[in-house]
Amino acid sequence: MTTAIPSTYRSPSEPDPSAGPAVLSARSLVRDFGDSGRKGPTTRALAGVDLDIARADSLAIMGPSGCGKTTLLHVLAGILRPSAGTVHHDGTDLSSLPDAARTRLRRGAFGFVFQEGRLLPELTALENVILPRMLAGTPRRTATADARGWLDRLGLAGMHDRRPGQLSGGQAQRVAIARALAGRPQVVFADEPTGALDQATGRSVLEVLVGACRDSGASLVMVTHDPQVAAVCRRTVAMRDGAIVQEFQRSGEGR
Amino acid sequence: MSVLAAAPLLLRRRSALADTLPVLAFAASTAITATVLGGLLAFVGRMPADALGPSASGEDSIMGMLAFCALTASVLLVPSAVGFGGAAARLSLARRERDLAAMRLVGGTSAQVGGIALLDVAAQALLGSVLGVLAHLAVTPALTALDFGIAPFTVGELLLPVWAYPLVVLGILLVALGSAAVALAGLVLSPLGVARESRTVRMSLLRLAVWAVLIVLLVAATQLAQVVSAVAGLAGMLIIMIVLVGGVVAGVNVVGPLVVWLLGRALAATAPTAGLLVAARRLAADPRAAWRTVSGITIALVVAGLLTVISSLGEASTPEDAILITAMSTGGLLTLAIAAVLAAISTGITRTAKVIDEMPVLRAQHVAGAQVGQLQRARMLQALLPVLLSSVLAAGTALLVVVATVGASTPDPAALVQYVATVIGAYVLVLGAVAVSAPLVRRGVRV
Repeated sequence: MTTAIPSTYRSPSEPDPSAGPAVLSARSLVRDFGDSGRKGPTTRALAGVDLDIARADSLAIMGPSGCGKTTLLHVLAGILRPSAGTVHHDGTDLSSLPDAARTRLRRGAFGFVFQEGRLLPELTALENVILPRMLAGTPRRTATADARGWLDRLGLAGMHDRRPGQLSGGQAQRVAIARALAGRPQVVFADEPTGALDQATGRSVLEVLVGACRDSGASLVMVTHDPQVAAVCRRTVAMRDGAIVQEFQRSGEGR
Repeated sequence: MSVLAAAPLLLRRRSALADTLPVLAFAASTAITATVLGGLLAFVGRMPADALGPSASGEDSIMGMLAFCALTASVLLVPSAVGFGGAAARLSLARRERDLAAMRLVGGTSAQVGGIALLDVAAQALLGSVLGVLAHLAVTPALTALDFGIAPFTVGELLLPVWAYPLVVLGILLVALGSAAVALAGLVLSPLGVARESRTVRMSLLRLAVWAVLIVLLVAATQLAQVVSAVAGLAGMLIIMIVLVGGVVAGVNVVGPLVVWLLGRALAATAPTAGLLVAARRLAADPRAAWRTVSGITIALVVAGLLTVISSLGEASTPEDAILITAMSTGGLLTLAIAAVLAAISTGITRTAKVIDEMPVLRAQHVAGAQVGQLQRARMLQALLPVLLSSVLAAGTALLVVVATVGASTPDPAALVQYVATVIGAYVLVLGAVAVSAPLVRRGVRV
């Protein structure tokens, strides 16, 4: 089924994903939680998900609570291993990688924006942005120069030395976006990035997030339960009971 | 249902570990306080009426000196143990923050919720201090085996009078309530969460000035001992000396947070690695909390430093000297052992509590690509930097007190080895405490 959903926000022009190769490709994903090793009750969070994410594309994963959308995001990002199925990134099956390699991949190729920013409260905005890059071995001076550019670009000039407690919710979330993008990731994963913000601030943060991903050529995978938030993405998949039940493309082109 | 009636329902939901930590801390605080005070009273009880007079001889003649040493040890240990009780109260309160917000959400006023929080701390302090008294009763028989060079103490001598136990429990309770009340004053209890008043931490150089004044007073008092003795009498001079030595040693815990703050800021500005950056910023953000984790160790290290004094006393030429040297050796090592136990418990508990508090951020860092090893290294650095400062400050303080009270002398090499071993022990203790909580991090960061 192909349906065009109304777009609440002005949408950036995006490349046709069908023209580019998939940066992430999931096949027959199953993920069970529970006491499976001891024959106890299990809960099936993902029940055979197929999904491709093209380079520089934007995808929203929607659905009610407990439908498996956050689990899908965690499996796509290599945070959780699937019980069955595969997730390929640049030709490598993530589930075949040991934990340390998946952690390195998350640090280098992926960026994350959480619902409440999850910034380190003791660090300044600038230090929060440079931290993942320093963890990856980038010299502090280089990381700092890049981070200043990102913070300025996201409207945080003059706030580099403020700590998260001295920033508004929207400003803190912009810092989180700068942190996610500073390492030039291929994919940015966002889990309810505006869930803790009021509507106006949420809209502004979304515009920044989508625009920054588009400008840097990163794909965006965003989990949300809000159709208006999902509408900023070019593609939306709707989940129920661990499966994708519908897919929408904002341009009106369905698959 | 009133908020007070609903409180037990809300306060019931917590993890066993989070519940246990403050109770353990109160128990340790009470047990150490009661044991140290019991020992002090045992020495005082052996003092003859004219202990400081010229007619005393043999064991009687040195009991006054031994009681003075016991009082000095008590002055070093009791504030630290009682202070740990205060830290336990803040720990208990931190565990409850989410519950307090929930109570505000269901209609409790700030005053009601604050009152319930204090009641909660009081209940934990009461339980912990009763357990602490029981631990003190259990340990006391073993202490009768210690050789102070005098007739062994009996269990009856080492126990406090019965009437004193309720007072010890009450004292710990009041310290806990006082600390919790001060901590509550810095919290904003709203229905949507508990926020700390966002203040930029600033440490005053006044801390350094207060410590410097105490040092100057100690040096002056020792230099003018004869004058002070003439004015205040021998007993008066001893009391003044004890207060000043205690003040200088306790002053380490006043200066410590300032030094942690300065070092944290300097390191954060230049840290070349992520681990050092995070550790330095965390130290600068809450230098008092960082110092609290090593305050017990600091006292242990100061005591270890003071023990080197014994080495300068030389060979015993009289039976009284022999008793004195044996008593000071045993007493010093006992003080060190108690301080080490206090340090071990306080370090273990505060480190474990920190892991629980920081878990959401640790988990988010791991998800974003920080290896568990990198997280552990940052925690290790965060723990080691204060203990590094602590060992330097403690060694300096001990040296200062020794030089001021005994004068410069060459200590026995064996005493120096013992001191170095104590410092190494302190590092091992902190690393051990961090290592003990490492599995919590590994389990906790799993999504």
